[in-house]
Amino acid sequence: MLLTQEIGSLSKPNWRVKYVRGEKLGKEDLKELRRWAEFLEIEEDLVKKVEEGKAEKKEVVELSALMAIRLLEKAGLDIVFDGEQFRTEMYEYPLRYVSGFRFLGPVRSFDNKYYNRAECVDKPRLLSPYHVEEFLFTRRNTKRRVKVPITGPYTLAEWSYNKYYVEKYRKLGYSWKNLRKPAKREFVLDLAKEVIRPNIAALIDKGAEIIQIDEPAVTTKPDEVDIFVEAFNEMTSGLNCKFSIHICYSDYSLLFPHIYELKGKVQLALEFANRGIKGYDILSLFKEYDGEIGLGVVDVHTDDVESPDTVKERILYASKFIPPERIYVNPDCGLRTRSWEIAYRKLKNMVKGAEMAREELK
Amino acid sequence: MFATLVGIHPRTEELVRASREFDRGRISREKYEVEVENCINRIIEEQKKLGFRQITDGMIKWDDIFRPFSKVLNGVTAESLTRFFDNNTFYRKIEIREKIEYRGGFLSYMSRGSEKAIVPGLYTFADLSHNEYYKDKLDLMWDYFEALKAISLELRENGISFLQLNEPSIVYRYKRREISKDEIKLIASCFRELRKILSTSIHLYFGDCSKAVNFLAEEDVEPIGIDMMETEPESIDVSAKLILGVVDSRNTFMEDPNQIADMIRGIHGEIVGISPNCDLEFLPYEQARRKMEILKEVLEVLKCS
Repeated sequence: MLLTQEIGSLSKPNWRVKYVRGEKLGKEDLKELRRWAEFLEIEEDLVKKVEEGKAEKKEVVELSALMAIRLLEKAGLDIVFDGEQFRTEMYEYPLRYVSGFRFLGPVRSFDNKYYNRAECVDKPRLLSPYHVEEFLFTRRNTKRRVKVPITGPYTLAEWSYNKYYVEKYRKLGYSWKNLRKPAKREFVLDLAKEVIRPNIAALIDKGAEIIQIDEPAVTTKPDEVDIFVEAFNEMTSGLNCKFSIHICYSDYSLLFPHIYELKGKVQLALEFANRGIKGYDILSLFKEYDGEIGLGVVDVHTDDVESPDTVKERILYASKFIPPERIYVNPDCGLRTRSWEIAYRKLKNMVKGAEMAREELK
Repeated sequence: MFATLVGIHPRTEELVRASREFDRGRISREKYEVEVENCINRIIEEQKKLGFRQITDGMIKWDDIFRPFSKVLNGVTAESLTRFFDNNTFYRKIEIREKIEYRGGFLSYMSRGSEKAIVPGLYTFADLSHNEYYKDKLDLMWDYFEALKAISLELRENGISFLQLNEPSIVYRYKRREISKDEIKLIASCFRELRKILSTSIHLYFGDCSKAVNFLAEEDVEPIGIDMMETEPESIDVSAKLILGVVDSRNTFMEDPNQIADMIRGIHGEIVGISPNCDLEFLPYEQARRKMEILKEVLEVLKCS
């Protein structure tokens, strides 16, 4: 009951970023590396190699992944991954392994933050599975249960320009207004079948037991939530694995009634802590949903570290709506926006808070 | 018939790079501001070259359509990041804690060479803000209108002739029948007041505009900009002046100017202009520029026919 898990990313340490970029590590970078290596009891020869500038870039990425795994273990999580240290981010990284896309340039997300947005110019095809190496690395380096996060097909489609399928439906005589949904549906389903399903199959083949589909964009267009459900069923049917779907910063009421059509008892790992205690009230909608809930109890957008008591209170509050046997405990989202120091303290308190809640619910 | 821009323009790749460098402390503010000016000049030049009217500066100094108002209005602040309709783009929600009053400074968000200011319309401003002060939404809209009136007078004194009110929320809410008759009356009467100061238009987008066009036209609100990507051409039949948003700012599919011209010829209404359906900032810079060229080509096709 109340197993603890992460959602995905941790930030990338400066020494890892600079080394991979080919920049010289400064005094502070080396100090940070040494401090965390000692704290996480990392093998000395690996660290020394980086300090002396003798490591290959791949070894540096692996070292940061190893340290991320150890950080999550030391915080006490039941289910871990590698903090996504092998990946650059969650959109451009996967699409680099898929044909049919062309990157066009920066598009604003907010303020001065941009992402490199691609257009779909042909039917997408997977060039090679892109998460196997990091899964095997994590598997080799932990005895805990491992969960692999994968960006879902709806989010990949929503964050791209749908040129190829729009062109197709224009040729078929559809009006602008009427082509949007069928063109999107075909795009998402092709991504699900041709890209994500083979990735999942490759991971399962290598022993993956838990896979989390990241779909932060899923409620962006309320009339397309059914497409996401259809795609999820399409890409997971018949595959033997525990599945979870991560959604955040969204209006969860828009998921209904569509999520009742999800096949299998799928866990929904959701963000709540960002909304304050009343934000958990929306869980009343999920009473009839029979899958597990991954309960966001730690806000990833603030350095304020939640106390174990706060975490416990949030879990107990949520358990008024959802039986605790169906609750997993996690941060709202990936912790990549926080320093390792803050991420570690938040996760440690999260684990402690879950323990306290478990005691109280006994 | 003319072509015009209707919203925030994408920044050039050079400016995006410069803003990243500036954020990381790698270049000075002066250097960053030079890049801002270069970007604005380029956008203005491109509009002139293509024969666009109601020239804008691309709103390059605006982080989102509401942000300047958090600086030029008393009683409000810009707070949490919030999704902008159904886009992967976010704005900071305006929090209203006191009475809204214009305190000055709007001109600092306009650049030399701009002929048109584009601002959130009354309804959209009220709809997308978090209001903790006003008991009645109509009072909020009225005070925002008073601020817009003061801004319009300042703009007129400084040689700016056009004002465009962006009203995506009218379309979005009307779809759900959440907009009241009183709200429609207020939007229309304020529009007519602003029109006395500047040549004013209203722009509707992110939804089927056919019904909203009708009720606005009945209230003597014109010209009305329409998102033609979401509105069936045959559903429009009004006598009001129209500006048609005929290229899609949210897709890289490049429209055929001949097909657009055919569509325009079939519409019942007095079409005075064409535009993108919404802000071109949803596209990278080069694709936005190509969409502008398509608008010019549409005008050429229509002139020849």
